[in-house]
Amino acid sequence: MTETMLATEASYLYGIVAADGFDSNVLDGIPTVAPDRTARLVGTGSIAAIVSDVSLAEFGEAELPSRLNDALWLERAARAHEAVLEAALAATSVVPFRFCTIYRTDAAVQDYLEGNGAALEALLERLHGSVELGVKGFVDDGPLNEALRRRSDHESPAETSQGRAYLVRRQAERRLDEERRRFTAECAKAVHHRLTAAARDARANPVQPRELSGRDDEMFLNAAYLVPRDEPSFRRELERIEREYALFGFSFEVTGPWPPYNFVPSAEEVS
Amino acid sequence: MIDAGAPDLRERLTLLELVDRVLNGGVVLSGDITLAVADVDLVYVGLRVLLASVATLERMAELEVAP
Repeated sequence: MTETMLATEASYLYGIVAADGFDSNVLDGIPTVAPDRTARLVGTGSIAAIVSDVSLAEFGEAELPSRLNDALWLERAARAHEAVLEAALAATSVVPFRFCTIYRTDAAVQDYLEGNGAALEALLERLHGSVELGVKGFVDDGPLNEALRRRSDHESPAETSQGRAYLVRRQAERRLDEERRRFTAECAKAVHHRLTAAARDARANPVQPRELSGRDDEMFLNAAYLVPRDEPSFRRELERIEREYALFGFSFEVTGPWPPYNFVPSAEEVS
Repeated sequence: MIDAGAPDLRERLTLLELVDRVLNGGVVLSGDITLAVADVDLVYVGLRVLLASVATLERMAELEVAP
């Protein structure tokens, strides 16, 4: 009890790996959320937790909120969290934990492992050999409007009166807007469906506004896919989709491979 | 011109992608210390401000090099 009360350090938990055959040397030299500390393994059975020591003066409950608002601190720590998980991911399957999951002691981490061993083992089994890829789809209104206009041109009748022509033009524009929205939504669904079929699991997240995407064109798809680590068929399908949809002003951005952040359950399901 | 130390927008966006994953993804535990939902929301507010200011800086830089 005294030891806990006097503690100045705690154990930051990055993720869980299968201990069999995992060489913890891959973690050597990887910067952790506390740059002067090295990541290490906690665990005695078939699963192990990747942890590193952190100072409670920096990661304590009272200190964390203000740290999070320090953009430089956040960037360094988030990149370190990812770097540790990526080093492990290169060697084995990983169950990633959320940023800043901290236990007071290694013993508490060990308790967690023992209390949730079966669920964690099942999760590692399901994720075995898989990585996460992020796919964002964007649509450029210009080429899409043109393609849709070409499609509907033959439907617009010739008009003689100017006022009438204006109304018809306005109507046509409104129809085009509506058609563009409907067409984009249909494409998003079709693309996600095809990519899902090429993946082991999929998750569609809310699309991001322009200020977050940093692009002038509109995001229509923001999804994550769980794919086999060394299998190119998902990327091939994506390349096919890119070629087919380029004509309509659609383009795609792929990120990863990531640890499967989007494919692990929340706490209630693990514990 | 903006100084050479100004962060690149592309890198910022990759950072956002990363922060999005480490904050919204992964197993969420009631460990001894964890992030409160309100804290996570604050991070997003901070990042939006950061990104908006980087984008503005880049636009300004473009204007200055334009003839």
